[in-house]
Amino acid sequence: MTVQYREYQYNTLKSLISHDYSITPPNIILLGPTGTGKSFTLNHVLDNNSDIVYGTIRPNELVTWKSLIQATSRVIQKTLHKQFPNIVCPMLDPLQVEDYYGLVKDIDIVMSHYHPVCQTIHLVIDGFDLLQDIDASLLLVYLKLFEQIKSGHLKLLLVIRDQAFNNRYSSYMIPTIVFPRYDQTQLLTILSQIKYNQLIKSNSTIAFSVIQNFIQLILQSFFSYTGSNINALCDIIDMKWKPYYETIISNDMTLDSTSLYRKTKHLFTFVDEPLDKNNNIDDNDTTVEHELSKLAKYVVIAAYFCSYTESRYDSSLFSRKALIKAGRNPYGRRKQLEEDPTHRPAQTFPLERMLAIFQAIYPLDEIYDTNSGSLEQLLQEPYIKPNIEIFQTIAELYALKWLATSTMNVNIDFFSSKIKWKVNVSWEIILQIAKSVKFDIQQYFSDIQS
Amino acid sequence: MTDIEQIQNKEQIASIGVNDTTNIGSDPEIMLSTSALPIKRASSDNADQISEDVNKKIQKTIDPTFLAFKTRLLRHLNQTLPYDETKVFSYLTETRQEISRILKQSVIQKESHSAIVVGSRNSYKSHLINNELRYLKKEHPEQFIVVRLNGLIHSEHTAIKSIALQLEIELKKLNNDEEGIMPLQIEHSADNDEDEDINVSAGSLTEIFEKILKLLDATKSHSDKKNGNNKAKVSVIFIFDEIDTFAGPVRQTLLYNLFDMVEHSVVPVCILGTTSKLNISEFLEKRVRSRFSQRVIYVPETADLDEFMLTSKENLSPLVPKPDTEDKKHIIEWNELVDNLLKDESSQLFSEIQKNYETFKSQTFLKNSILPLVDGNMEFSELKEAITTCKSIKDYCINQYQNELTAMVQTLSDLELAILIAAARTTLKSKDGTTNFNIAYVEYSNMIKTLNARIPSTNNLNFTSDKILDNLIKLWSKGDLKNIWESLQELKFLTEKGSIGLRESAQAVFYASNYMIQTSTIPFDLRTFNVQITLHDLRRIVSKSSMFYPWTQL
Repeated sequence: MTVQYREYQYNTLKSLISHDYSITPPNIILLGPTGTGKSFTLNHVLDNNSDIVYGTIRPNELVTWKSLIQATSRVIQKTLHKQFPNIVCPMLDPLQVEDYYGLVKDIDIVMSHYHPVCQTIHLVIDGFDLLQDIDASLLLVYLKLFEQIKSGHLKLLLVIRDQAFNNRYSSYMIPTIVFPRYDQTQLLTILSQIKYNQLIKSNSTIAFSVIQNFIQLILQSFFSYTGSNINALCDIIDMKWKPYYETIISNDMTLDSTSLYRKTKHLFTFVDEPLDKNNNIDDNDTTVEHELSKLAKYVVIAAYFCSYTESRYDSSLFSRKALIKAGRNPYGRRKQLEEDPTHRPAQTFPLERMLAIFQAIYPLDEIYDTNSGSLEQLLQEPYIKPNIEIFQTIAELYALKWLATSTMNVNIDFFSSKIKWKVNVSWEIILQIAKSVKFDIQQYFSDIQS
Repeated sequence: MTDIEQIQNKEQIASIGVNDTTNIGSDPEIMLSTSALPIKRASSDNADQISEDVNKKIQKTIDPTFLAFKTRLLRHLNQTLPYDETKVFSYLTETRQEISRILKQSVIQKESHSAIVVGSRNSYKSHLINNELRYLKKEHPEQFIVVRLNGLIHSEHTAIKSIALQLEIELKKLNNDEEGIMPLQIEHSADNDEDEDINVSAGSLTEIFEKILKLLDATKSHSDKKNGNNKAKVSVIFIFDEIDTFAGPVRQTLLYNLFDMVEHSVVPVCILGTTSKLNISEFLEKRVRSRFSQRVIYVPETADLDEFMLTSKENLSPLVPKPDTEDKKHIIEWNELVDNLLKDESSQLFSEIQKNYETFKSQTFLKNSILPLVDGNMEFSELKEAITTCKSIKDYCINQYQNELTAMVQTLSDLELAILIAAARTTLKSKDGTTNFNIAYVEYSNMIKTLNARIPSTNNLNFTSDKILDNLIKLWSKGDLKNIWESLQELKFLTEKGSIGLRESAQAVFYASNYMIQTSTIPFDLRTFNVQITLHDLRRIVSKSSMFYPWTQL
């Protein structure tokens, strides 16, 4: 009994894993991207051989190398204790393991107690490269661990996802078994097998063909979206099966496969992830407020202009006097650029420039309308005056990471002339924001966007 | 029949087998499945023993001679056979003799020595040393103690602790073997050692070394009393793996003290270091270097194809045991077969080994590919067939490359491939060789729009039906494609510009985690990426029938 499409890997693993330490290499690597059946095949081999004593560590549940070695000590002790409850062995506190040598010492002590009943312990490290604080020397330590253990034998089965990570250690020539990604036909067979028992409680061949047809449709529609990510496909199947099933039932199972597909076509057209659904229910983009005040929105828009338009065009873009100027702008017209500037990362700008543009674009008409006709207003520049609120807003936007500075330093003087700012928002979001305050941002970019 | 039923049945058969093994031998299916036969682990050791016996009996009925031969061959390949049955590769003979001389001088003649063995990875450095130690252990037991240290595992600080502990354990063992005549003294000195262990941080390194030396002297005097001559002096052999890590930029106190010990200690001390750094002596500080014996042993590589073939032959053929064992006949036959295959330049085995010589030039790689070949067979004739065709070796080589970038491109879904091509195109167009999600998406949508424009519209033909059959290529929305972008990142086709990747040491990781990484504040669409595969590469990988093939050039 082997694992489907993993016959080679299964057989090779079987010949490289044995309870007899003397006929197998000390370390084995299983290499392949996520969702290629590495852990499944490995567990299958291990479970089918009752002579093998093994424990499993999952580094993605851990953070640092220290927690990994502590987990190693803990797992070895627990595995042996569970397997041989009759053996008396002092429980060592895994948290006492502070360095690699401590780990070696612990394993040595534990293994010396279990030596009469178990000479070889297999340790599966499932996803070694998923340890958050992984560094290059950690794997080397684990590869050499077996040499230091004097009583008993430790065999490591390392499951690694990242090919580049593994390539760093190619000079060690560790026996490696590679798991390639599944293709579409393989996925169909595998998913039909996995999902058959979960989706329907019936043994009839019709039920199986219905399921297979459904999975085939899902694969044809979404394989290009998910790639060979088996988990994503399973999620999509779970999500779509209920409405599909209901369509079959409501039509008394009379539909042939073509008309069934037509009835349920919407299921196979959109991915329909829950996050998107919320957007569709709401009135599209306009409701996206991002919980910013009007002032803040204009600050972000001004910052966006600063980051994405060249400063030499500022006078023609934002000055109300530009139209009065005689003749053409000394800097010439803006040319259409080869590629959309909004697609590139933001440029930095000084704070002064942003304040100037903000002042130019912030509308004050409503406020001044009440005083219209007064003599005072003729003298008054129709601009918003710098006030504490603006600076508060800028600080707030910085804290929310809508605005960023060019330095990585956290403690900075915002008013220092050395500090350059940049906006940290993409085009889609700035469009939404501009829309929500009815500011037509697109016209400012219409002549340069390709 | 379900699996459980099958298992239960087999268990029944297995329990019958305790009394009568001949029944089982006749059933080929059971013979094949014995290795995977799950026998329930009973709680008592006795039951365990019985089930193991059953297993052995069943295996014996398969073909005991073949099984013995197979195990011997596997052990030979894994270099776990006892000393008498191990032959060091002939190109290493001189190196072996040199190491052997040093070790013998310190164990038998009780001299102090130091040497460093230099060789590339998997060049059998440790194997040579271990092999000699096994010999000495057999010929001169209780004459020496081995202390093993590994530069990757031990820091200078823990190395001292480890030395103390290993000495304690070894000495205890030595004294128990000698009927525990002086257990008190040793217990006492061991206790001392425990104290040292606790006080390691308090005392200076030299103090600890003095204590360790005292400990050794205690053993010596005890042995003297027993045997009444100097012969009983116990030599201490230090094996330092990765000795270069102890020869770091900071003081090198450990090496200094150890090499000093070689010069001044009353106890014979031998220090053998192994490293893969050719210029190891440049690593050593002046004061350390002057104490080191300057004896550097370079482990050679195989010189040419003939020597490599000879080594491969030695690697594949176990020594014929002198006493008449069951498997002797098989071994002779196997060795002859290997010999013939390697003499014949047209044989598969020859060409595989030649390929190995021209690429990896590694006996370890050969071993890795041979292991599944040997273990997968149930009969001697099958095994002979397997080594002649070398299918397993070829499969192993093919398997090794199934996750390289080239192979990975072929497993991408059409959308993933389209995005990858779009990303590669945009990097080629851009000045700095980077791309981001925005730009790649624009490129992708242009590609799809152009492709769709070429497809003749079928709207006019189908306008009567309520739903127009869509034969255009689907243009996925920008939001959906973020998923693809991330999976390309996970497969390492895209790497973020300026990301440092894997850091060298735990310390570097610790420092890095203290800084805020700037890239994390850039919005998803605008993060700049490098593409790890060029458009030129893609043109050669993507099949010509693919609809994206025309897009693999600008």
